[in-house]
Amino acid sequence: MATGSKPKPQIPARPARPLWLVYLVSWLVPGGGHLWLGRRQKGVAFLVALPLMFAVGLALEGRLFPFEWSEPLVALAAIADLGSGLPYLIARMLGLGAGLASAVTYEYGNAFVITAGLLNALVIIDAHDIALGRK
Amino acid sequence: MAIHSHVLLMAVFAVFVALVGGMLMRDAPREQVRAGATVFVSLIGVALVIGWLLYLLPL
Repeated sequence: MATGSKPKPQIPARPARPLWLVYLVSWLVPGGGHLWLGRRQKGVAFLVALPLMFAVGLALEGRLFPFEWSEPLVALAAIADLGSGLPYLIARMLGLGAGLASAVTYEYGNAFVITAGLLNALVIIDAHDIALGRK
Repeated sequence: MAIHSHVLLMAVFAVFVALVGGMLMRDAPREQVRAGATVFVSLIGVALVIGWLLYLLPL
């Protein structure tokens, strides 16, 4: 019976940077995690596109939804808005994002703002994969 | 913002989603462009198809 050496199971290498810090940087600065991990091209693209998308959403009279847990859809939209990180926090501090429901572009604005936050969530997951050496 | 054209706003939205989506889905630049273009065309195409289907529905 052949006793060839079995391939050892792949143990993921310990990430060079603490994962929680990668998540935090990626969330706060869209694309910041990628820049920190050396993925300059992706990082710059996310850094430009996501805050710009968020800003366009606000310019279109989009609303930064409040955390109203009695209204599940509003709360979910608020969580999605929060995904944008620093642009969201700055907009909140400046009192932007009141939303003008009577504006023609109101729903578009919401779509832009919400989608920017959700896309940044995907960017954080991508940074996670890069930090673990999967990409 | 002065843009009130729904089609133009939809196209701008699709550009942002395609840019980020394409870069997330692939790693090689050429593949990223292809994936982004696919996302963009899909978003616009599906929106136009659904728009026409809704237009044909009686109110």
